Amino acid sequence: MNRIAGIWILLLSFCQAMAQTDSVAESTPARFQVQGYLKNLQTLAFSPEKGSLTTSNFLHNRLNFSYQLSPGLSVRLELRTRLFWGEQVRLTPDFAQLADYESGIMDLSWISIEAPALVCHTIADRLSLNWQNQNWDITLGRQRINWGITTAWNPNDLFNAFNFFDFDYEERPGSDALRVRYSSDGMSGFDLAVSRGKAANTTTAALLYRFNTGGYDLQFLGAWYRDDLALGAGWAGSIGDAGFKGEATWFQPRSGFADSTGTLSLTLESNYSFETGWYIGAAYLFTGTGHSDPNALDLLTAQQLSAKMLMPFKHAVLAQSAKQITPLFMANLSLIYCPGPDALIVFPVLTYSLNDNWDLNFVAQSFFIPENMRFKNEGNALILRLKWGF
Amino acid sequence: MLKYFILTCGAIMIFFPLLAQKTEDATAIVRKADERMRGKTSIAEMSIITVRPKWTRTMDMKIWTKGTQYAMILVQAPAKEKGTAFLKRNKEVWNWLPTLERTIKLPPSMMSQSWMGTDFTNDDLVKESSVIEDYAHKLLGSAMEAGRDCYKIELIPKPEAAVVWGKIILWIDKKEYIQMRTEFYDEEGELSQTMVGSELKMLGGILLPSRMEMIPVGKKGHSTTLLYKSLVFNTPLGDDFFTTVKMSRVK
Repeated sequence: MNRIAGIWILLLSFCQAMAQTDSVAESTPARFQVQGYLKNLQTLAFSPEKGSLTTSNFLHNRLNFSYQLSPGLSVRLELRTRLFWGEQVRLTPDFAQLADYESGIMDLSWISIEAPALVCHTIADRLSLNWQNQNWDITLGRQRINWGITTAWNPNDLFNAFNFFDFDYEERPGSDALRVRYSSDGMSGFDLAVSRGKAANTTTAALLYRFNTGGYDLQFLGAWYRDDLALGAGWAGSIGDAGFKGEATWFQPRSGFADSTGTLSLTLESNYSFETGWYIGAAYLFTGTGHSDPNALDLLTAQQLSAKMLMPFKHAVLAQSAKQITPLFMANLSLIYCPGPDALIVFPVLTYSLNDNWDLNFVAQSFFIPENMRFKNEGNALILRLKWGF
Repeated sequence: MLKYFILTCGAIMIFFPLLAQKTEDATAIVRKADERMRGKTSIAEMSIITVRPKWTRTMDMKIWTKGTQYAMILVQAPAKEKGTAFLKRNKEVWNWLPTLERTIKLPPSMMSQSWMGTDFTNDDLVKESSVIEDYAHKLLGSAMEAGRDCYKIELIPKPEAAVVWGKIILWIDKKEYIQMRTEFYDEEGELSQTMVGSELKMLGGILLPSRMEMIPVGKKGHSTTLLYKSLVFNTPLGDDFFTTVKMSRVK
C-alpha cells in the first residue's frame, strides 16, 4: 500500500515537470500522460414499500497515469479513489470493508479514512506493463480484458462482466492477468489471457480468435473458466442499416464433465439511428442459470455477476431509446423487462454538457415487481452526478 | 461524436480536392481536383468550434485519411473524450472507447444521422464524390473574394442525383485554386448557408485556408469553424494503418 502511495506522489510530481514539454511538442504525444476525472454523486434511495429513504454522497476520483519507457514498452497505473459520507455510510455496518472488496491476487487497495460517517477508499484497478510491436501485444499485471462485442450484455466477456446498472464505473475492476495478443493484419488475430483471483477456483485461461469478413466482426473463444469449460462465439454486423449483434457462451462443469449438464448465456441485439437524431435499440438476454423468483433482483450487485449470469433471471429484454435533444442535452431511457418473474426496471439517464469538460447527469433506477396483477414499486434510486474531466 | 468524424472526413475530402488544375473548364477544374486527391493520404490536426449565441464547444482531433476508403480520427480534447477514436473502412465504421477498452462496431444507420450541433448537413459530408458526379458545373465568370481573383462556378444537381441542395456556387482562386467561398442554396433557390475560407497558410506544402467557417443563413450567432493546426499530404500510410488494432493504439 505504501509503495503505491509512493508511486502516486512520484507520478504527480512528474506531471508538473512534464506539463511544459507537452505544450511545446503539440503533435507528438508526451511520454508521460496523466488524465482523469472527479465526480460528485448525490444519491437518494427510497422504497415506498419499506418506507425507507436513504441519502448517500460520494466523490469519485480517477487518475490514469501512463509512461512510455521505450517505443514498444509502457507502464500504466490507474487509481480509483472514492470518498463516501453521510447517512448510508453511517447506517451500513462495515461499510469500509464492503467498499474494500477486491478479488485480485495483488492487494492494491487501502482505506485511508474510516470514521462513523466518512470513508475514503483507494484502489489501483490498473497496474500493468505492456510491450507491443507491429504484430504482438503483451500485457502483464492488473488490466481490463474486455471481450464484449455487443453493447448491453456480454456473455463472451469472461474476465470482466459488466453490470448494466453500474453506470458510474464503466472502467470496471481489473483482472490480474497475463494477456498475449497477436495480429498479422490488424483486423484479425488471437487473444490469449490467463488470470487468477485471490479466491479458490478463480483461474481463467482463455483463447479468443477474431476476424472481420463480409461486413461482420466475428469471434470464437474457448476457455478454462473457473469450475467450467466454456465455448463461445460472438458477432457484430448489420441487417440493412440496422446493427445486428450477438454473443453466446456455453459453460460445461469440469467435474463430472460427461454426465453434468451445462448452461448457456446468450444475447441478441439490434440498434438503429434515425436521421432525426433518435436512436433505438433492443436486446435480449438468456441466462441458463437464471431464477424465477422476483427477489433475485438483489443478486444484481457487481460482485455476483459473471459472464455466466449477467442478469439474475432466465429471460431479460431491453428496449432503449436515446435522443440528442439539443447539442448539449442528451436523453436516454432504458426499460428492462424480465418475463419470468415479471420484473420491470426503468432506467432513464439525462446528460447535460455544462462546458467542454463539465457534465451534469441525472439518473434514475426504479425496480418494479408484480403484486396482485399490477407492478409494485420495490425500490428507487435517484442520482445527480457532476463530472469534471481533466 | 460520430458526426464530428464524418464532418471532418467529409470536409477534407470535399474541400481540398477543389484545388484545380490550370484549366478554365468548370467540370475539368472540379474533376481533376478531385482525382488529384484520390489514392493519396492526409494527416491533419484540427479543431472544430461550434458556436451558438449562448455557448461554444471546441473539439481537437487528429485525422488520417487514405482516398475515400479509409479514415481514422483520434479525439485529443476535451479531456473527457480524449483517446476516443473512429475508424472507417469502406462502409464499415468502428469506435474505440478508451474508458471501456473496447471497440464498438457502429450500425450503418449511424452514418446517416443528422449533424445536430453543427451547421453541416449529411449531404455535405458523407457523399464526398457528389461534387463531381451529382452536379453539372458551369463557369459563371470571375469574382473577387477576400481580395483574391476567383472563378465563380455554379453547381446544379443532375435530375437523378439524390442531393439536398438546389444549387451550389463555388469561388475558386484563379492563381492557387483555393476554394475561398461556397454558397449552398436550397431547392427553392434560397441561400441556406455559406462556407468561407480564410487565414491562408502553407498546409501540406500547399497554400490553403487554415480556417473554414460554415455560417447558416437566418440563425444569428450560429456557426461551425474548422481550424487546421497542421496538415500533411501524401505521407505513405498502408492499408494496415486503418485497422481496429491500430485504432486502439493511435496517439
